[in-house]
This record gives sequence, C-alpha cells and structure tokens, in this order.
Amino acid sequence: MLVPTLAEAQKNVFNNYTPLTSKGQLPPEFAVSATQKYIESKKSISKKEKRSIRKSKTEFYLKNSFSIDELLRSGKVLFNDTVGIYVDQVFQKILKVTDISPSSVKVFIVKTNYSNAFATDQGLIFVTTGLLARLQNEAQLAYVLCHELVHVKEKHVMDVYLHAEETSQKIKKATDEYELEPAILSHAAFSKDKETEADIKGLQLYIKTGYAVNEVVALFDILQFAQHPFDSLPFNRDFFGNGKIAWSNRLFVKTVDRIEYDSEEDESLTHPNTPARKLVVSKIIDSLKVAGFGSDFLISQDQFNFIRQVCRFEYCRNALLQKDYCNAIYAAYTLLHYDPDNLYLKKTIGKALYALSMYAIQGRKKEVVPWYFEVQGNVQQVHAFARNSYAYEVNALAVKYLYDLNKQFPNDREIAAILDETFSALTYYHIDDITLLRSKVLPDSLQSGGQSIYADESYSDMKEQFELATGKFTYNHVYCDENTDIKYRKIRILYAFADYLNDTGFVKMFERHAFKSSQIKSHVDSVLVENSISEDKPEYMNDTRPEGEINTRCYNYYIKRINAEAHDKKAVGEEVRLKYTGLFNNKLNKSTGEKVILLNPLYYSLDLRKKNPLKYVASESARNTFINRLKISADAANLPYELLSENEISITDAELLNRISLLKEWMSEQFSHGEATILPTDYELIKNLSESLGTRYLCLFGNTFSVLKKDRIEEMIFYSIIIPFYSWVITVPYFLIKKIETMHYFIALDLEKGKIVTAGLSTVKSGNNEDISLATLYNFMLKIKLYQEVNR
Amino acid sequence: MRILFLFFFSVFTFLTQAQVPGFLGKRASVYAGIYLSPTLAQSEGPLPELFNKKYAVGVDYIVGLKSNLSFSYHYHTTPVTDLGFDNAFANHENFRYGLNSHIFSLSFQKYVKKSDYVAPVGTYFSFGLMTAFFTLKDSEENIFPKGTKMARGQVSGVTFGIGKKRVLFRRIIIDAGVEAALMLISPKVDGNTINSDFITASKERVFWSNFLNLKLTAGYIF
Repeated sequence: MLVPTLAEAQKNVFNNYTPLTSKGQLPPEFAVSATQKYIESKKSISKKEKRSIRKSKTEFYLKNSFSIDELLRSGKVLFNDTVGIYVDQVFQKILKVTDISPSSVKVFIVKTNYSNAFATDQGLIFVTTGLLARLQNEAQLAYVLCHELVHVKEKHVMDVYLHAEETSQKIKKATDEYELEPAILSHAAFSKDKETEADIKGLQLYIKTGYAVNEVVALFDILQFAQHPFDSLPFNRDFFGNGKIAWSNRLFVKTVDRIEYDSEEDESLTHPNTPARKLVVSKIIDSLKVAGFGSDFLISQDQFNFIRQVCRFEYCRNALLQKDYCNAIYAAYTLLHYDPDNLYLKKTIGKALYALSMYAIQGRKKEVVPWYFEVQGNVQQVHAFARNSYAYEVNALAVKYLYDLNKQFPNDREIAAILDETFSALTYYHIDDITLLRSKVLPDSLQSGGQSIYADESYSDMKEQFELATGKFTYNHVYCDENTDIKYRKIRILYAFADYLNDTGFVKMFERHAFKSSQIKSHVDSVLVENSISEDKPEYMNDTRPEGEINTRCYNYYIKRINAEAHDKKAVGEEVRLKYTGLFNNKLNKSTGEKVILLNPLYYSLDLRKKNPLKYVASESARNTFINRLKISADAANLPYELLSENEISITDAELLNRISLLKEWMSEQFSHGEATILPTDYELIKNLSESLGTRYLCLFGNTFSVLKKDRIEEMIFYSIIIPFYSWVITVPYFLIKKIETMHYFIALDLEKGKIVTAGLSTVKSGNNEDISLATLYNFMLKIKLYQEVNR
Repeated sequence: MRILFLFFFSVFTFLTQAQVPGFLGKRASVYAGIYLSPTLAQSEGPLPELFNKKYAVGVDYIVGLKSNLSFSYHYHTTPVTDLGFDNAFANHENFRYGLNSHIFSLSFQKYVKKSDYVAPVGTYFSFGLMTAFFTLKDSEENIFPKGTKMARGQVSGVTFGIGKKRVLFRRIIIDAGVEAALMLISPKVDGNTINSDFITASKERVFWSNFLNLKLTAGYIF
C-alpha cells in the first residue's frame, strides 16, 4: 500500500504524539483586552435596577471579565485545535435546535486532567480534556454541552454570584452558628437548584438533538467516578519485572480496594450528588417515554474515538506535569495494552520512573506518591509499588527501563538525556563498583536454573532467600545493619541487570558513569574537607527526610553534593566579581549580555484598604508602561531580549501564544519541583524552543504599586487630642498623605538546568515613578548579566 | 588627621562593589544650585534678610550600588556690620564690611539601606569634609581704602546631611535636602592684634552661615 490507511496514519500520530496546540487566527475573545470585555458587559446592566444590584453586577462583570481573560491567556485554553474543532461540530448540531445565535456562544477546550465543563454568562463554554478522555460516545458530550448551554442562556453564573453576595451580608451579620449555618446552606441549596434546572432544561434541549437519550443516564455513571482513571485494567505485577528479576510481594497489595462511591449527601456542596442528579433525569426520561430513541453518534464514531484518544494522551502528559507520576504510569500502561509499541507512552513511563527515583533519592517521595490506601481501584498497585519501593529499587528499575528504550530508539534525545541522568544517579548514590558487575556475581543456582526456594514474607533472619521460578527470582529486603544492607543492596541492584552483563553497550555506559561519579565524589569530599563545610542539610531545605523510608547513606551523599556545589558556585562567582570591581570599572555596564526571554511581564495596582484590593483596569492599562520601561532598561544594559507577552500578540500569532503556554507549563513544573533538578516533561520541546529562540535564559519581571492600610490611626488620633497643635505637625500629614509602596521583582531561570538561577526584589516607599523603576530594572539587568558572566 | 584617615578608609571600603548600575549605566553628573541658611547671625541691608545664600557647583560620581561621592565648590558672600566685638574700627557707622568665602566640600552619600533605592535615585545620608577660605574686606571708603582686606583665613569642618534625589526626563537630576556643617578647625590665630579680632569674628560668621543649610540643586547625568 502506497497510501497509509487512516488507522495507520493515526497510529503514527500517536506514536510521535505532540501536545495539543492552538492554530490559526486568534478568536476575538483572546484579542480583546479584559477592560474592553468589562466595558461591553457593563452595557447590559439596566439603569432601572436597584443601586445595590447594579453595584453588585458591575463588580461581577469586572471580576468575571478579568478572570476569563486570565484563563484564556493562561495557555491552557486552546482554539482551532483538533479536539476543539470536533467538539464545535457537535456544538453546532445542538445550536441548530435552539434559537441561540451561533456567534453569541463559543466552546473552547481546556487542557487539564480534571473532569469538568463550565460556562460564563458571556457565552463561553469550556470543556476539559480530562472529561473528554472519560466519555464513551458523542451523545454524552452533547448532553454536557446542552447542560452548559442552559447555564449560559439562563445567566446562572450571575444569579449565583448575586445570591452569594446577599449570603455574605447575612454571614457578616450572623452572631452565632445558629444564624451562620442556615445562611451557608441556603446558598448551597440555591446553587444546587440552578444545577438541577440546567440538568432538566439541558435534557429537554438534548432530546431535540437526536442523540441517544439513554446516554444521559450513562453519563452520570461516568461522572460519579470521574476522579478515577479513565480505564481500569488490572495492573500486571510482572510489567516491570521482565528478564531475571521479579518484584517482591512486599511492593504490592494482595487485593486492590474496590472503587466505591460516597453517596452521602453533603448539604454544603454547590452541586447535588451525582446519584440524585441521575435519578432526576431518569424519572423525566421514563415519564416522557423517550428511552431507546436517538443515536450515539451524529458526526463520526471514528472521529470521536480519535479525539478521545488524543485527550487520553494529553492525560498522560498532564499527569507528568502535575507530578502525578503513579497515575501517569497507570494511564500509559492501560493505553499500551491496545498499542504495545507506542513510543510516547513508553517514554511517559520512563519519565515517571526517572522522576520517582529522583524524588526518592532526595527523601521527598511522599510529596509525589500518596499513601496507596487513599487510592481505589487497580491503579492502587502502582501507588503501592511506588510507595513501598526503596530509592535504589526505583532507580535501578528506571535505568533498566530507559536503557531498553534507548536501545530501541537510539536517536531519541529525550530518552538519552533522561537515561544519562538516571544512570548518573544510580552510580553516584547507590553503586559505583564496576568490579562487582564484571565478576558477574550471580548464584550458581540462578545461572544453571536450579531448584526453587520459596520466600517467606515474614522472614526476618539476617539472610536473603531466593525464589527461583521459571528462571526468575525474588528477594525480600530485610532490615539489618548499614554495612550488611549496603552489600545486599548492591547485589540486588546487580541482579536487576543480570540480563545485561553480556551487553557491551551497557557495561561501557555503566563504567563511564561510575568513573564520572567517583570523580565527583572525590571532588565533593575534598571541597568539604578543605573548606570545613558542614555536612548538615542547607538552611533552605525544609526537613524532608522521611523516617525509615530511605537509605541514610544515599540521602547524606545528596546533601554533601548540594553543599559542595554551592561552595563551588560561590568561589567562581567571587572570581568573576573581582573582574568588575573598581572605582571607574564600567565593564559590566558596557559588555553585551546573552539574549534572554522576557516572559509576560506583570503589573498590578493594589489598594489594600479596600475589600477587593486589585484594581483590574488600572493594572491592565499600566502594564504597557511597565513593558516599555523594561525595554528601555534592557537596551541601556546591552542585554538582548525577546519579549513574549500576551499584551503584544497579534491576531495571526497563535504560535506566540503556544510558546508562552509551553514556557508557562515548564515554569510551573519546575517551580513545583523546588530545589530538585529534574529534567522537564517536555524536554525535547523546550530544547527545540530554546534553540529556536537562541537563548537558555527565561526572565519573569513584575511590578506592583500598593496603597497600604494605615495601621496607627488610633494612636495618631490619641496624640492629636492629647497634644494638640504640636502633634499636628506629624499627625495631619499622616492622615493626609497616602501610605504607598512600589515593588519590583524578577526571577531568571535556566531552560537547560531547569532552575532559578538569580532573582531580585526591591521595595521602596514611593510611587511607581519612572526614574525609580528604570534604576531598579537596570540594576536587575546587571544582575542577570553578572550571572551569565559567572556561568559562561 | 585621624578623622581624615577614618573618612577615606570608610569611603574606600565601599568602593569594591562589582555592580554599579548608576542610572541606566550613567554614573557621573554635574550640577549647580543654591544653599540657603537662616540668618542666625545678624545680616544687614535696607531689608533684613531671612536667608544667607550660597551658590554651588559640583560633580557627583556613583561609586556603588547605593553610594556616591560628591565634590562641590560653594561661593558665599555677605555684607557684615556687627562684627560682635567693640572697637573704633568695628562699630563706626561708616564702616561696612563684606565677607566672601570659597568653600570646597567632599562628601560621601549613602542611600537608605532599609529601602531598596539604587543610586542616584532616592533618599540618602551624607557625611563629608568642608573647608572654607574666607576674606573680610572693607566695603566703604573710610579710614581704609575700599576693598582693603581686613582679615583672611581658613576654617574646616565636617558635614552631615540628608536629601532626596530624583531624575527627570532620564537626564536631569534634582537634589533637595538639608546639610549641617561644624566648621571648627582652623589655624591658631595670634590673639594680640586687631586683625585677630576680625578673623575670629569672620570665622564665627562662616560657622553660622554653614551650620544649617537647605539645598536645592539641578544637574545633568551622563
């Protein structure tokens, strides 16, 4: 066949899956500023309404316009994307049976694993990829859109907001819990009524579309368990244990907990519980006698399946970005069941194992792996494995998995980079003795495939036992003194690589990393000894050492390395600073720095004396002034830059928005890692972006101007009365002059290292004047240049 | 001598910073301005003056993130009637004198640490050294020809001040503040001559005219 079939073409798409991106022209909602949206929305407020209602509505439109704008520009909302185009086709089918003008409502896709759909009164409907990943057919999607359309038509968002305002007044006046509780519950009940209205009216609209009516009931079954993975395949414990190694029973649960729904009604929630909603719509369907009518697909079943698969792949990516590694592994595992050779899914698992091993080494595993008994269903096995395994076990597994993947795809940069990091960690923290590897320390019984020895789970002697079954063996970790533990640990790690002892590529890689690790260790030890540096944990690290979960030696190696690296960095920094020291030394000012990306400069104007301190309109209008000042400072400092700002997007520049989105996701992921250096999920994409922009430095700049609350009013009034005339010299200016503060900050990140490299903060008790701002920003630019010089 | 040593030592310890941004990279500025001091010593003329005036020009150079050096020249002139001592030359109604001072000042300005101002913008404290070369001349034709120099001398001291600088239009630097000087150091004068009385009185006048000054200057930064 010269022309690939649709199935083959789609398979290729998924094998080399790239994240969803926006395309084409910006929709007006993205191009128009939030201030303009607010002004437009305000026009709908009638002057005949009560003053308090008008005030609440104005406030609502202000907050709503800016919140929507923030969401649209967050990088998570897509337009003209593959999924959005399909969902829009379904949406147009629904609009045909209504009197709503297609130009007044739009649907957008939001990239997130949460199963949700929501609407705004301004006619925007958002559906998440998390929800689409879980749906079974087009009909269920159609009902979701009908439900949201009712919210738009009936202006529920405004109604709920106004009711909440009224409730908050009651709450303020409430003197005890007997008055407080009814107020809170009345608002929850009001909101539930709106949801029920949307369910019922949505159903009435849905019935007209021609979609299968029964699917509405099925949808509620899905929503009931929407927080669980989209599939529920049993997890095969041998999935990681091919070759000579099988994992111990210790690492898994004997029986997974069933998925159960907590049907107890919580009166304080704003949505009715799902079984109640299902009951309401079932009764209506029965009464109308329309069960069995309609069809599951009106556009295309193939297209739906394709779109759902895309959303499931997005699920894997989003899970990695949110550090939900166990769910990422499980989701990829279930998808691999249907597409066993998929590169993207295998890479997902490799990345998750790598990240888990890095967190385990640093003693921070519990940050990313919840207790497995908090999880239900087959995914619990993955959580149990991740939680119960030791750092060296996960590390060894990650190396093994990534090595195999690297052999299969030797030209893939991402796999090579992650394998490199994982291998370095293995040889640095756990085993660097290559002679053990060379001597092939396997028991004879294993090599000859001898008798079986059955392991006892409760065995507690200071020995290891092996079980030989079908050429595999398992072991139990037993607690013993540190020296014995080290010896057994090393041997166990070797057993994980028993299949690779004759692989020269593996042996060479091991030797290379072991050599590098031993060099690093010697340097670390010499730096610490020569400079009498304490081996204590640095101050900036919170106490993350979990009791008994990690090997103390591994953690101590980690701390020593951080201390030595910090010392080295300081020494180099001092050396460079001397170059620029001197009374008439202007070299740093005049030198040309390396190019930086200025990402979305932020400006906020706040009045902290008010209930809603953020001044939306003033903030948006002053942002351009701040951006201009940044440009002036960067030009004066000879620091080349590329400005990526949502304020400066042209209508045809979807690519700019995609870049901003990618960088925001990267940033959010890196910040969530804290001090850990972990390669990003989108390593390849970030590397490509960095190369195309010609820089590895990303800078975030911000500026806030605040009017502060005066905190000594009573004191000043007291002095004014007690010491009249003389005290007025101080007290009168205190009352008349506003207390103001201007803050500038910046953070510079290295796209290659994935961490914050330098930062600055400046606060002055003054207005946001041009000279103060320019002087501060210029100083920040010099700081960036100095860092670049130190790390050239 | 010791004070001088301490002053320069303090100054130079601040000069070893790697990062001296200045204002958009510009570190030097020239300025001119006026110093006003309340007339603590009596002044004369048809209308009593509330302020003595000094005219100043100077150069500032930013030496650190929050510090700069300032060198300035002040010119002060004032008519004098009451010299504060009693003799036929001093208090004769026909006698009028003029006191001129050429004052040189070197000061170190440190910007407020608590606030993150960056030199040259913001509030600063200054301390420095000042020396004044004064001449007291006879202004009228009487016993002595007009312009006769009745006394010449030098007096030095230390200065302290507080001020605030702002930059307008990215080039014009405005400085407003208060400066106090204690001009107490001078060569010993032979106390047995009429001349010594004039010198002593002049020193006193120089002391008070520099004791407290309000300053306002405008400059150009480059």
